[in-house]
Amino acid sequence: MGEEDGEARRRALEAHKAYGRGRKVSTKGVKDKKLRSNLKSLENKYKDATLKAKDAEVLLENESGFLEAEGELERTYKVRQEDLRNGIAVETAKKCFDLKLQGLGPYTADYTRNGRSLLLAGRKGHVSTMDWREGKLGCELQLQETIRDAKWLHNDQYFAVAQKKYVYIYDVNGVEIHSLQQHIEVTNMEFLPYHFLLATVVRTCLFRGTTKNIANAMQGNAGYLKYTDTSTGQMVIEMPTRLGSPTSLSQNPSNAILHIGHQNGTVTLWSPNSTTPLVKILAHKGPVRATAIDREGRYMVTAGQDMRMSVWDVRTFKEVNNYFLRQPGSSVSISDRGLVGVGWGTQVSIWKGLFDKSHKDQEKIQSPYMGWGGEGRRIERVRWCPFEDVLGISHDQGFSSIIVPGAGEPNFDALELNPYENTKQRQESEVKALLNKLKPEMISLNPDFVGKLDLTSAAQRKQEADLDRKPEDPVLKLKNKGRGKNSSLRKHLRKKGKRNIIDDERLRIDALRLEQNKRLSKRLDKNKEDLGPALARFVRKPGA
Amino acid sequence: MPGRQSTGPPSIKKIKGKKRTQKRSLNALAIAEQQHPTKTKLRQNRLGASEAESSGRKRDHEEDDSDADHDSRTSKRPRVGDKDHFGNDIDGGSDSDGNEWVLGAVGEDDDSDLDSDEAMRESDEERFEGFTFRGSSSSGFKKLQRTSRQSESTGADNLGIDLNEDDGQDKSAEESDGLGDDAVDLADAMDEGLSSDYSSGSDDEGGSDDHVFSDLSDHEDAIDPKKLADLETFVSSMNDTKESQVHPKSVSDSHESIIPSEYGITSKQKLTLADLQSSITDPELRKSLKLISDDTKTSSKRKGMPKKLEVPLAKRQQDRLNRAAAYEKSKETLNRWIDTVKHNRRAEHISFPLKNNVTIPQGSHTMLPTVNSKPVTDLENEIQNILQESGLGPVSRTAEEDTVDTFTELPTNKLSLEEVQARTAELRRARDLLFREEKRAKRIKKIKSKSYRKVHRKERERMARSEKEALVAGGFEDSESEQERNDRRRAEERMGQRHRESRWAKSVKDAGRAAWDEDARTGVTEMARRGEELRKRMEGKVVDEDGSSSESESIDDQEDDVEDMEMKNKSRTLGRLQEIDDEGNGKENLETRLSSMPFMKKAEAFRQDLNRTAINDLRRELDGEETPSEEEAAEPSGRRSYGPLQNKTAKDRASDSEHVSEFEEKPASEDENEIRFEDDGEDLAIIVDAANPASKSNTNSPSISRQHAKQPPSVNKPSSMIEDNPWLSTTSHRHKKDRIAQDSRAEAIISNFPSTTPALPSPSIQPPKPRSALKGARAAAAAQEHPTTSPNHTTPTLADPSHTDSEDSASENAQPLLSKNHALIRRAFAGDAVVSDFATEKANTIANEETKITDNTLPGWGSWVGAGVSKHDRKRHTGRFLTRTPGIDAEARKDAKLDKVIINEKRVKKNGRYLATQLPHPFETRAQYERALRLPLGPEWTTKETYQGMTMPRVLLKQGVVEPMRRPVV
Repeated sequence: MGEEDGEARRRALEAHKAYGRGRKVSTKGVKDKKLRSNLKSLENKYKDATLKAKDAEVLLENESGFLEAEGELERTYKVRQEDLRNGIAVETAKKCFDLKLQGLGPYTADYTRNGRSLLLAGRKGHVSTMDWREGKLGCELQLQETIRDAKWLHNDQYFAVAQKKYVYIYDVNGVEIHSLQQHIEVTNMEFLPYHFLLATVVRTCLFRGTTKNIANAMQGNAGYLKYTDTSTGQMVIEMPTRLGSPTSLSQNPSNAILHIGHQNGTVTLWSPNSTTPLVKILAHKGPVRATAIDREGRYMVTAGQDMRMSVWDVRTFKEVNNYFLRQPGSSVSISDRGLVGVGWGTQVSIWKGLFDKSHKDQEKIQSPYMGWGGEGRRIERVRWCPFEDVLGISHDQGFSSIIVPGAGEPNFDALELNPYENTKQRQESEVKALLNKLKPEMISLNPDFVGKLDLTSAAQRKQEADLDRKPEDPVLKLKNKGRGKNSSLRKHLRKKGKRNIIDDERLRIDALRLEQNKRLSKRLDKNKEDLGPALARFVRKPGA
Repeated sequence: MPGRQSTGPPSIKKIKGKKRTQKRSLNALAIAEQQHPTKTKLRQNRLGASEAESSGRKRDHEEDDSDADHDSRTSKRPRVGDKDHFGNDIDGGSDSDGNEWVLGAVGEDDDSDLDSDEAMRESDEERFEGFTFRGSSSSGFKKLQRTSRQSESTGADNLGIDLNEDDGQDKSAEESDGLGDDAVDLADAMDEGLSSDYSSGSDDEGGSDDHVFSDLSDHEDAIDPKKLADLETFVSSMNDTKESQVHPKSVSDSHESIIPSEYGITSKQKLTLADLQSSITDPELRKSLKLISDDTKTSSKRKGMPKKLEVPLAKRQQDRLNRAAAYEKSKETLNRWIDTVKHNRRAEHISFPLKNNVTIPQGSHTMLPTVNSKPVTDLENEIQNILQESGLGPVSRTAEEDTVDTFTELPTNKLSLEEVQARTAELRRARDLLFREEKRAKRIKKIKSKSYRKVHRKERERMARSEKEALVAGGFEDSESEQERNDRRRAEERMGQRHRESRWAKSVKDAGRAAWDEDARTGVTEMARRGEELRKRMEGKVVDEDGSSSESESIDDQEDDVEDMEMKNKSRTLGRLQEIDDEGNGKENLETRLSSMPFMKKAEAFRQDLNRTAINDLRRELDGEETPSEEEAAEPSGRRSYGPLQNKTAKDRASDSEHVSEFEEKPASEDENEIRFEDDGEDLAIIVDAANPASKSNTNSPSISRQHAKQPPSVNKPSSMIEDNPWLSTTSHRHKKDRIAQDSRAEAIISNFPSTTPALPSPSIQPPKPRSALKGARAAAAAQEHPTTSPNHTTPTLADPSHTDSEDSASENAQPLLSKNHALIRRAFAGDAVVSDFATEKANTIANEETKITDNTLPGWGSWVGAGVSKHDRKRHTGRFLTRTPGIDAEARKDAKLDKVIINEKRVKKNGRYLATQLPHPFETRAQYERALRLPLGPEWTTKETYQGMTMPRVLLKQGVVEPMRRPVV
């Protein structure tokens, strides 16, 4: 019996550790019986939910595994892609490929959220999309102007390309469907999938710029951040970062906060709700070349011009570790399972265990997990393919897809993101996502804030309240609401009107009613006239 | 009066017609009265609503039926008294003459002609109505009523006393009602009690004309307190309208049963039932009368016998009591539901139809064979009959069948317990005997399968060993595949081992089986032995570097142990075999009938033969193995004998060496490693100086490197970044170290410069940043002394993968290069005072957001300004009006301890839209509320089960008819 108890307790503890939602609230001091029992049942429900979630782990049937060295002297980073390809299944080996696209400049790459489609954009105007697993080309464009960034929107049907001047949105066939003329000379883009917001950072603001903006631009202080709602097409907010031309942009997937890297080595955190950065972090001593945040929003990895790569805990804003790079990192990306890919110079290194949420003190890793490159191809961008053990590396000579065992999340939630979705499912999920679209005001450093208690003092609230607001006129609102027998005016009189009090409002309502009646009778007469004397009797009172 | 009320209209009309013809002329006034109803109506309304109605209806009937009713009613009103008399006279005339004088003498207050209905109606209606007439449907009560009625009527007839003036009419009315003689008016029965009471109370005042109530009471006071009390209760039960109602009535009541005298003086003799009794001849009537009289005399003396009715309470009181009782009752019945209701209220979900409320829907009875059951309904009965008649139905069991049953019943049922036990024991023994040989065969097989296999395995191993030895002798090395096979075997061995933590081991330990079960004991020892062996092997693998002598010794020991164990085992098996043999030889003298049959014997013998051969085989094998002496076999396994093992140990030793070689990958692998290492060294040689003797030693010290790994990252930071020009700064130990380093750097830069070509990216490695200055200095000194053995640098470099292995060796060389890189970095960011800029920015923000105190003092307000004002005065007037704008203090800031971070402390107003402005109702604290929101409801965050559980509606209703809840069983 005791053993069973112990077992159950251990199980509950494990479940709580993995899926628990905070500490219990004490019900001892609660006087209200009903509340107490409700709270107790709530706690039981939560406990039950965690246990169920733990039990549901059996459904996660796929496991991920890493490369492992057999002896102390074997190194995983020595494993080359060729060796891997010989050791894995043929189908998996197909995922390792090279695209040679020479002459059209360094490429940028982006995967869709379900990891199915790949978007490649060359600096010199070459854009192509493809279903990379099947090797099918979606569309191919030659835009013949500079492309700075390209990004998929919510699914593989649309993508945005930051071109020489404006940002354009193309559909799956490569047809230009929007040109966002408010986004001028965009250097980096990010798309927030749950809010349907396209965020861009702009070097300058030329056309719409006031003199002050221009002055700012001249000083190098502009760096505008703009949010556009892609479902409505409206600009949500644009604000100057006042920190000059941004050097990198990335989003925190857990709370939709944007991290912008700047020339002065700071990383600033932005939400569309505040015109000043929420947090400013001095991460490097040179320009911040790349930032990446892990899936759970706990850790940030940045690479700077000072040849350093630093790992930050973005909840406490403490630096976890600091690593040295031989050349300034050009791109950083964190995989589903916490592998960090860093592109520096012509090489890419993949780090394992740079951070581990279950450890209090993070270990400093001595050597990378895997490596790639060193063949004269300058790395432009590294991106992990979701749900795959694949790292996409775009460089100045095209694109390479390499296999990194243990990188991807092996189990996917098809209701959330389905790598194997068909058209119908895609459409449905699109509709669902639109219905569940979050408001930009919901973006905050703490994504759980919605519904929490407002702790501002009454005085402060009063201070913030808009006292100059015009009072609402109920009569005006009623005026054109309904006609006929149960017109809103009548109803108002019946329900709300104080019967025997003749005040201003009553007079107004009466006057309005009279007017309305007149109109009505006039219309009636007119109708009667129209129908003639014989048929006039059939005229119906409107609204009757 | 249900009896009356149920009067059918047609019959009434008939009678009405008759009466009208008779009395119309006389009753004109009464008719007039009827047409103009007086106050009485109002009073009627005072009775309860339903009662008012019923009484009204009743009155209507009576008005129609009997004019006497009106008369008597109206007679109570003093003003119209004369007319009443007149009417009454007419009425009275119809049944008796005795009323005549009453009219004349008493005048308005006519007592005697108070009819029973009247008496009921006026005041007592209130009291009795609810009581009497509701219960009148019960037969018992009716009977009682009937008897009283009978007695009354007979009495009246015989004596000519007018108890019920309207007798004839009433009767006729009742008859017309269809009630017949049996129907008894309870009101009549009531009359008696009342009248007797009141008449006795008002004996002496019968003649007085104006009977004021107070007078009456005065008199009574003097006479009899008890009766007075009775009267008072009566009075109190009456309505408030005393003056109009009570007054005349009480008078009339008091004279009700008194025989009036000629001059209005009532006789003093009181008429009682006893008086009437004497005149009754009918024995039955007498009997019933006796009951009544008894009751009046000795109330409730006899129990169990029907008594005369108590005076019922007033209707309202009665109703109240009834209500209370009914309430109690209903409460009790409802209380049964409390638990159910509570449970359902508290339940998270209720689904209808309720689960425990399974009622079998009508028409869905399960079909049962009708053969055994008796027919229930008429239809079934009929069908049954028909079937039986036609000979198809179930025939009733005959006596024959019963006897058959008794024969077929088990005879054992009648046996005693001992007998049964004896029988089973006998059966068991027989079975034992039958299968003895089979059992023996099984045991032999077991022994055989265990030791036999072991022996054979050993043999195989030995063969393999010798073979291998020959191979080794012949100069053939272990091939890779063989090694692998060995590995596999080892692993399997480990798998097959009885593990100390295994369930078996635990069970043995818990049950203490080793104490009595020999098998278990051997198992345990085997386990221990194997564990030891394995441990030694493992140790041997690690230790073998140190020296092989000790290892071989240990293995020797171990081998001895093993041999010992084997000996023991063998002897034990032999012992067992002997046991079995003995058992088989010991012929059983118990011969059962079956086993004594020839074919059984033959089979037995055959089996025995087989077993014997098996045992012999086993013996031979064991003997062939090592030819144990007979005494050894019989010997208890305590002693050790080394003699016959000698040659085997030698072999084993060989096998041991084989074992060792099996685990002796170590030296080989070391060699391999060396080779590898050399390869690395060659690789390194391209980049770095290959001549690094220290590199080897470094590889052997993982602990050191780990130690370095734990160095905090902050130490690794080039803290001198802030300094604008590191070359010019001339302070502190750092400088000293730099200087020391410079010496070597000078050469190193020159020597290593070519290696930093872009074609081959140099391992740019950070210089060591020792924790303390002293340490740093020491390290630097050490570096100077032994330039080759400088401390490992700790920051992992993103080196070319092939390089990282030799990082350690490379680091020593790279150090000058490293500092060079630093210098470059410093130069690159010399202009960007990034850190200091950030610090100033942070300071500014803190200052901006801090609590501010502003001086609002205006010069000239409340003070003098201008020339000539003394400094002291000016000073005095500054800071007189201060306003404090609250802000965030530097220590209270979120980023107070984070020097590289500025956290915006401003409130994000737009987020406020999604915050709760106040704590919602049932919650008492914020924590409770926020806890309630903690788990999202959506399917994305929880399992499907949880999600559905949380979103399920509270009440689930299945389509169809929902049966009412079943009554809870208390």
